[in-house]
Amino acid sequence: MALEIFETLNELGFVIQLLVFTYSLFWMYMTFRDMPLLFGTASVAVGFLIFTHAVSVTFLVAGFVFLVLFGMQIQQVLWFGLFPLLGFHVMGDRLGRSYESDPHAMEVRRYELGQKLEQGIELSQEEADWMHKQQAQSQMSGAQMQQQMMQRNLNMG
Amino acid sequence: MVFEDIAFWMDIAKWIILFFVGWWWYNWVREKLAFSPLLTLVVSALVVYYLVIEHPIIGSMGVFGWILLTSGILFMLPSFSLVFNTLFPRQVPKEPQTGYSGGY
Repeated sequence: MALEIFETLNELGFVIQLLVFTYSLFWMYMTFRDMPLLFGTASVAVGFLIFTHAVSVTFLVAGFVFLVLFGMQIQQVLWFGLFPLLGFHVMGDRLGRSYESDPHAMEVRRYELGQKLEQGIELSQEEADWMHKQQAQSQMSGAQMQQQMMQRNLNMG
Repeated sequence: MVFEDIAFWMDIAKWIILFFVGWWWYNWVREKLAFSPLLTLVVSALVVYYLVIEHPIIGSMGVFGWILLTSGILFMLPSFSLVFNTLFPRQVPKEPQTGYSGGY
């Protein structure tokens, strides 16, 4: 009984291979209508692939169809599901740095880190780097402001 | 006697369906391999042998499944619910008469 089923599956597998090969031949003939050499070469290559590597080719095609059909869903799961869980932004930016585009969030972070420093809690490397950068920037802007005021005084004088 | 007649006509119908299925597969191969009569003969012989003689049910399922999917007859499925609702309309319970018009 079991043997009969396997025999049937084998026969059906062969018929499906034959149908797939026939369909491929049709499209190759249409494609290489004026190039018999290419048609023959491609037929041999496709026949070899279909009749000796049917399972691998099936998996390859199934994977391709899966990507084409579900590409958008996969992309959305990655962008809005997996990446946020891993702490990555949509464009590959770290979520931890998203406050840099938000002045209020930057103010909050500056305040929180200042509180930490006042309480004597040690900052992490990333936090310390950020504070140094902020200080350097504020010093620079302070220097710029001073320069502008001097310029203005000079102009007025 | 009556049952023998039914079996006879069922047998005739079966042969007609099998002939149609065989022709359908042959025609499919003929369309695809129109550039080579020899290849058409060989491939259609193999396909008809396996899908009509050896496994007629599977071959018929392929043909009629394809016709079902591509004919557009599945677009008629919603009309069945329409017929159902027409034959067995839903009984809407009557609202109690209170004399209150609902504010309008």
